[in-house]
Amino acid sequence: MLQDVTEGSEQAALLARVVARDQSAAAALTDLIAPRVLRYAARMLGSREEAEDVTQEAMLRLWKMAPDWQAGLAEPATWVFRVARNLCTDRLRRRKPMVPELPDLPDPALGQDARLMRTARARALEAALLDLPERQREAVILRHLEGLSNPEIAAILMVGVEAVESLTARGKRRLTAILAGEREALGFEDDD
Amino acid sequence: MTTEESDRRDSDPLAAFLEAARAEAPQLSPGLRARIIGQAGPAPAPEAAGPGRLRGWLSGWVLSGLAGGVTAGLAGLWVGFVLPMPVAALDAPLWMQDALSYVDMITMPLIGLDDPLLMGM
Repeated sequence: MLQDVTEGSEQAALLARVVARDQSAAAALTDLIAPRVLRYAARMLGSREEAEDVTQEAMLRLWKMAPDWQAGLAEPATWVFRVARNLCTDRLRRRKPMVPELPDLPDPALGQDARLMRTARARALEAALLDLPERQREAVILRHLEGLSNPEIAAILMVGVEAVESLTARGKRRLTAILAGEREALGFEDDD
Repeated sequence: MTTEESDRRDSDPLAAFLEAARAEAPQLSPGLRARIIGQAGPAPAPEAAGPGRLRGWLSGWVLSGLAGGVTAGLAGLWVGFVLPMPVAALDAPLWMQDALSYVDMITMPLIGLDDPLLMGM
């Protein structure tokens, strides 16, 4: 959860110190927000390079907004997620339609290195995420990979909590269907 | 795998995929972190009145004026070099002849030439 690390009021206090040119406050907010936004953007876009651009731009907008920040409107982390979400949406709309491809999977017959298999499973999930409708994708990422609460996700997506629950449930069902055919190749038969 | 883990995976077939994706998540590189923090750096302070401001005024107004003068001088040299033909030969219209005669009246005592427009003839 965003609030587990730093309460919203503490984030706002850090932002006020950034305005006063306190570099340690800028570092603290960066460490709190930027890694999460980078992960979110990378999974939304399927591109590490584009995710870095989005993260840098979203944080830059936070710094620019800092002098005019109004406490109570939103937590800085939530606000940055919203900006990153819009930036991702813009990039996705400018793209040509793409067909996500599942990555090459290690051959179970050759023996399974646990780390290789974990990497393959992660890549398979990321590829399957790109096959979800955009809103389901972001709900699943924020809920099940970033661990945000439903109210926090609702604040970022600007929808009700019930809508978040519905998006998450539908997204998980679809992911399960996409990945069903990969379970054997990804070593699940041996796990069970 | 423990029984508990196995039960959890049976009830949530995505659990292992999600665990793997969390473990393999991209990390914020030191370079990107430094760039982001650097962007929050101090904005340039407003310039105070005093010698610094005078220097700025000088460099912005006087020096640009001097630069303009040098440019105009070079342009004049270039025109003189590529156009050796006397300007008077261009047959100025009558109304301009009167104006040129006033120029003669002013420039002759200053530069000691009878007719600067006939130079080079």
